[in-house]
Amino acid sequence: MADTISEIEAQELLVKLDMELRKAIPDHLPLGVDLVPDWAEPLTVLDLIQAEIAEGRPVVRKVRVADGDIDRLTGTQRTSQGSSAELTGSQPYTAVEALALTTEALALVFVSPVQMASRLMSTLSKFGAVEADNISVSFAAKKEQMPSPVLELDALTVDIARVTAEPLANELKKLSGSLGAVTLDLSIRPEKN
Amino acid sequence: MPIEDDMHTKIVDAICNLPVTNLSTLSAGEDLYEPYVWALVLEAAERMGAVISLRDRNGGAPGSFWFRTQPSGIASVAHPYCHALIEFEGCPALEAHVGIYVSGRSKVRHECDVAVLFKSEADACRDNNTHPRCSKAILTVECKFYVNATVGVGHGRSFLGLINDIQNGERYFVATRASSSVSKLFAKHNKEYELGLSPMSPDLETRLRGSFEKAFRDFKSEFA
Repeated sequence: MADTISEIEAQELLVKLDMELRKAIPDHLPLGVDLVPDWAEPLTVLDLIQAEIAEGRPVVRKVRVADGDIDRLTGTQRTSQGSSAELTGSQPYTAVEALALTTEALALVFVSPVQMASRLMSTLSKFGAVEADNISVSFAAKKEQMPSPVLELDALTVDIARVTAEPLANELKKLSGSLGAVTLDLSIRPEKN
Repeated sequence: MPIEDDMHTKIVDAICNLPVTNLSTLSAGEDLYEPYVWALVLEAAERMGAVISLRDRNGGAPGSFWFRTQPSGIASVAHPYCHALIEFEGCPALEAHVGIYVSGRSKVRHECDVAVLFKSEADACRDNNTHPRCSKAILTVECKFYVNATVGVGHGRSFLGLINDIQNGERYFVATRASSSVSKLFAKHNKEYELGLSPMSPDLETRLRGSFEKAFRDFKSEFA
């Protein structure tokens, strides 16, 4: 049994993941609850990363460019070999690479915020000389005159997020490990000071 | 490691169970990225021997910690935003802020996602409702949380324009996704950057923190 995922397996998984997620998200919409933008976000993440995959990997190709076919003075055909130029183009991603990008994007949006929140809580506790359980963090709205924060964190919120994100972190970690690329650190254990 | 047949089902189920918390949204990552980088700056300062404490606008210890999600003036009283006071022995005190404006050489204000500046400058700006001068910021970091790396080139170009006006020196660009185009852009212009930075890449964290440590080392050496 191969240690890393094959192109065919990667392609199958990408298709299944896309199909199942697009089918599952609307089914999970809670009726009458104004959470639609949040619930639709996994699809937004998929759309964003699929757009990047579709563009392909940027590559620079060294090509020979003809200087011009006809000599303007004499009207005769040039014999020049032309000049070399570096032109920017793109190259399609392999299925394994596309799966790695998808895995990274999902982890970035749904796992790394928990890691960042843990890191922040730990930093605030350490330098603010406050017990971790007593920390309260508020993020002001984009229009800062709005009195209510857009995001509030405390130890309990982060703990709940950690527990909720753990199954996804574990699955993405397994997947990342089978892709043969750099394995993502998806550990969401509480930070220690 | 071979994949399991039902891996896609497990991933989809795990995603569908996520939106019960406020940390499972795209905006949560965007909001947290700057404070996360700010925390790395503080770690670097501490490793270089600084004594660090957290303060609110009035210099008191904050009861709760407020952060900006959009830049505003250092003197803003909209919320009791917190900042870090960084003290190296024998050196002028510094402050580390998230999401403030600084004024460039052209006197135009610019956004700084993370900025470390002289406390004396910060005090003067708070007293007079002005923006700190870029020359008084010993370290600034432009932080970009994005999912699609292709958008990074535009941010990179903007950053190059920005640092022309806020002077060269310890000016960093960090972003969540690696992009060969942005790397080439910064490498060609000899600028400091770290792409693909997030807690998922501890090696990059260590490298960036090391760069911040050098910035603090150089600051300390000026006053040794």
